[in-house]
Amino acid sequence: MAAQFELKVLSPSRQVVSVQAQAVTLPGTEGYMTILPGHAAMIAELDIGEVLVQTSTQTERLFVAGGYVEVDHGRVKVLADVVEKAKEIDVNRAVEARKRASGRLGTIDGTTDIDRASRSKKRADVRIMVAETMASVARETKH
Amino acid sequence: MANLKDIKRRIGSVKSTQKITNAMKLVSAAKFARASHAVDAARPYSQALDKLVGKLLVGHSELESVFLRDTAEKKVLILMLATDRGLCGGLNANLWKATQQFVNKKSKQGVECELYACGRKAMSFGRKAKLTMAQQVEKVLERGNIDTARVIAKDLADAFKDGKYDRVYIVYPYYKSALDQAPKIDQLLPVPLEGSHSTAAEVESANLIIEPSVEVMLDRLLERRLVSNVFAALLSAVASEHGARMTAMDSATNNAKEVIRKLTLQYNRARQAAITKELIEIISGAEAL
Repeated sequence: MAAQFELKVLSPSRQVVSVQAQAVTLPGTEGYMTILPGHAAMIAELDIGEVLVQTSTQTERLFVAGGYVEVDHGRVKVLADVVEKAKEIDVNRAVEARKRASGRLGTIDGTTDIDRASRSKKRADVRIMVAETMASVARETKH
Repeated sequence: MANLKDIKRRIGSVKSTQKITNAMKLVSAAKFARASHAVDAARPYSQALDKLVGKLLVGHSELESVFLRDTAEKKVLILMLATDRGLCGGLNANLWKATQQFVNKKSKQGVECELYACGRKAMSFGRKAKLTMAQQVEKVLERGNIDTARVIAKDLADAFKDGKYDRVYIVYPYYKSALDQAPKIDQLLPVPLEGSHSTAAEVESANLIIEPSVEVMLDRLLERRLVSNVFAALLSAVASEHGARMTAMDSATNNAKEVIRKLTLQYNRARQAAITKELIEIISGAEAL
C-alpha cells in the first residue's frame, strides 16, 4: 500500500472532506503545489482554485476560494472560506456570475471595483472548470 | 350556574393556549436540533483557525496590523446579538442585564459606548438604554449563516479601521446546552492574541515553512479570524434562541396542564355543589308537603 496521510478540508460551516489521501494538489497564492506524504511542517495561504484529492481509489475535485493549508506532523488541514465539491457546483449560477463580471470588466469606469470584479470572474471560471472536468471524467469512465 | 360556564370557558382557552405552546415547542425542537448541529459542524474550522493564528504569530510580537491597533479606550462599539421575537424565557432579559452592566462599567471609566443592534430585541434595548445605535439590523438570527457573519464582520472592520472605535465587543447568549445560555461578552477588535505563547510552539515554529510570509498574510488572517469569531457567536446565538424557546415552551405546556387540572377540579366541585343544592331543594320541597 502506498503511503498515505490524513487530510481534512474544512469550511467555516462544516467539514467537507476527511480521508486518507495519497496526494493533494492545492492552489497556493504563489502557484499550485502538491503535498505528498511526509511533507515538512508548513502553513501556506490559498488562492481561488481547484483542489485535487487523490486517494487509493479515486481522485476528487473541489472548488476552494481563499484560505490556508496547514501541514502538521503528517496531518494536512485545509481551511477555506468556500469549499464546494465538483458535483455541488451550480454551473448555471457560475455562468451568470461570469457574464456579470465580464460585463463589469468590459466597461471599466471610475466606479468599477476591478479587484472585486476580477476575483468574482476568477471564482466563476474555476467553478465552471472544476464542474466541467468532473463531467468529462464521468463521461469517459462510462464509455 | 354562570360560574360553571365561566370555568368551562377558561378550560377551553387554556387548552387552546396549550396547543399553541406545544406546537411552538415542537417547531423550536426541530430548529434547535439543526442549530446545535450547525454549532458542532462549525467547531473544527474555528478551532483549527485559532490554532493556526497562534502558531503563525508566536514570537512575532513586533507585527503591525490595523486589526491589532491598541489605542486608549475612549469609544467602543458593542455588537449585540439578540432575538427578534420573545417567548424564549429569560434569554433577552439576561442579555439586556449583562449589556447594561457592561455599559455602566464602561461609562464609569469615561468610555463612550455605541450599539450595533442585531435583532429587534437588541434594538429595543438600545432605545431603552438610550444608546447611540451605529447600526440596526432585523432578523439576523434567522439568517445565521456565514454570509451574514461576513457582512457584519466587514462593517465592524471598516468602522474600526476608520478609527471610529478603540475597541469592539460582542455580547451574545453563549450556547452551552438547551438549558444553559448565559450571556457572554468578548472582545472582537483589536483581535486578542493571548494564549498563543508557549515555548513548545516557539521551537516548532522555527522549522515551519510559511508561504508567502507572516507579514503578507497577517491582515487577511486576522480578518478571517474576526469573521470566524462573529460566525461562531452567531451560531451560538441561534442555537441559544431555539434552545431557550424550546425550554420555555415546554414549561408553558406543563403549566397549562397544571392549570387545566386545577380548573377541572374546580369545575367538578362546582357541578357537584350545584347537584347537591338541587337535591336539597327537592327533598325539602317534598318534606314541606
